[in-house]
Amino acid sequence: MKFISILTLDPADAHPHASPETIERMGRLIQEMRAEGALIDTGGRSTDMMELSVTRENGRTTVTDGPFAESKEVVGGFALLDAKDRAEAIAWTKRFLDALGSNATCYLHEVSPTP
Amino acid sequence: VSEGDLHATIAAIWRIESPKLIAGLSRMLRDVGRAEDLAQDAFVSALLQWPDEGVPRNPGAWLMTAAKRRAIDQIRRDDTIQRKSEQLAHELSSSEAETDFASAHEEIDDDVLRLMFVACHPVMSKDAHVALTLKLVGGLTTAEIARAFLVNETTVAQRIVRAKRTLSEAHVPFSVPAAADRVARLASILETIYLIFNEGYAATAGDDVLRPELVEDALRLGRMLAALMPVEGEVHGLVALMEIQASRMRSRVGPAGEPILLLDQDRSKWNRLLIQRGLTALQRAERLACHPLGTRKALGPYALQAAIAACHARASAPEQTDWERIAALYDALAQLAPNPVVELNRAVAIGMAFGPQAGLDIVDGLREESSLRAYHLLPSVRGDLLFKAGRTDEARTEFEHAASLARNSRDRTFLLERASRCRSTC
Repeated sequence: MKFISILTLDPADAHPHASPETIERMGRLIQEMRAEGALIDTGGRSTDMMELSVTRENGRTTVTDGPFAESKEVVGGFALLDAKDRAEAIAWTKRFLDALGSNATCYLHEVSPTP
Repeated sequence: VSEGDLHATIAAIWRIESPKLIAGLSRMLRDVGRAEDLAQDAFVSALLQWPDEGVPRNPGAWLMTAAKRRAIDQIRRDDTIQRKSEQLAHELSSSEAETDFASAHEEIDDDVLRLMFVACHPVMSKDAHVALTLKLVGGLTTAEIARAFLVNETTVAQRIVRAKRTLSEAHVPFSVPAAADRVARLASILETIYLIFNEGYAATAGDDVLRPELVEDALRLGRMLAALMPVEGEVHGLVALMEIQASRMRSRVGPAGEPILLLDQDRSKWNRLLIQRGLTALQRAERLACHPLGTRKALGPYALQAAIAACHARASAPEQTDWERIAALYDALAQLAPNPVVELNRAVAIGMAFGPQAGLDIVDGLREESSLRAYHLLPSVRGDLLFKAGRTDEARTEFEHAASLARNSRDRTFLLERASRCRSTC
């Protein structure tokens, strides 16, 4: 089963630079997950962050620039997971949040393969 | 969180953590069998305690601590090897050992690799290698292994108990073999993983039984091994071969369960992610073959088979297949491991690349091969080449002969259809 995990951070907690220890911890976990095939791809928010939304409404497409000041959380990154089941996706995500070590939420969405 | 969810959670944690747990305990106790029992006991404690206390923050470390505590108790009770036990108990309870699981990552990796070598040790049978590898390294339960191989749970349990006894009686050390033995011992690990893979893969086309989980388990074991032995080209070769073969799982069987030949498959159904992973692994194997760190100077048999599979994976339509390259790769494979079945495959590729007569020249040389006398694919391939050469009468005879040799009804039906098509063209 494949899952998209969207990591969101508390804006107060979203430091642009992680500590070397955090980077090392995350790097190791990412390596372990890749090695087992549990992680297809992952990435963090880029520092010169670009945020925009593309919306289609009543046949018209509009592009709106961010940042979105009203939101209570900022996107910190994403991961595309390949897990045996829901429980395994959750287990990896918990380890990921532990490695990150700050207040954050991962939104897990199961995605079905193209038919 | 419902009870079902919690059991799924614990099972997932077990799959992820148990190889490291068993490997770490094996190093400390120098006894894989005992390590596995202790890990199992720790798992049972988790099943009893976590529903009340909640899943601990670091479940791997929790399991390790629980297992070590039991180990110390057992060792203290065991007075036959008193002095050694005291030393072991001391080592296990020292503060350094407590932090093992959280910090010593490289050591844990080495332990998992040692565990793979022990699980595939030549003192045991191939069946035992498969069962132990799945149990110790794959994190499968005895019941899961039994279900996957369609055998009784007691049979698997007994096989594992016997295997563990054999290991302990032979005093197999918990170590990676020295360089002189390593190639042969590694071959046995690769063979075990490929056996697991084929057990799952072959079943998907054979008898209507779908066992894709074994394919996933084999892929995971292969990927783990590749991360642990990054300079072994054949490990990447095996991973590449399995990923690319697995990419065709959804397209190799038709709606009625009939096998669909490679060239007739709907290529849009091939799994692009697995193909990508396979091609990347193959690239690693190819780079290692000409790199000073690599352990072999040319592609090994798994990497060559992967390279052949990759030729098909790269072609977006059957007519784009690079048959000349496939023929050359079969040639290299035949030189590495001379084998009439490889030769027959080479004939097919040569026939596709240079015309049916070139293929027939090779096949005709195989007709006296005694090991192929009862093999339906020899007359089947010959029939196909004759058909393409316009010699339909001879082709029909070959297809009929092939049908009489086919072992399952689906192949037989397929070959008889081909034979009757020869008649209608005449």
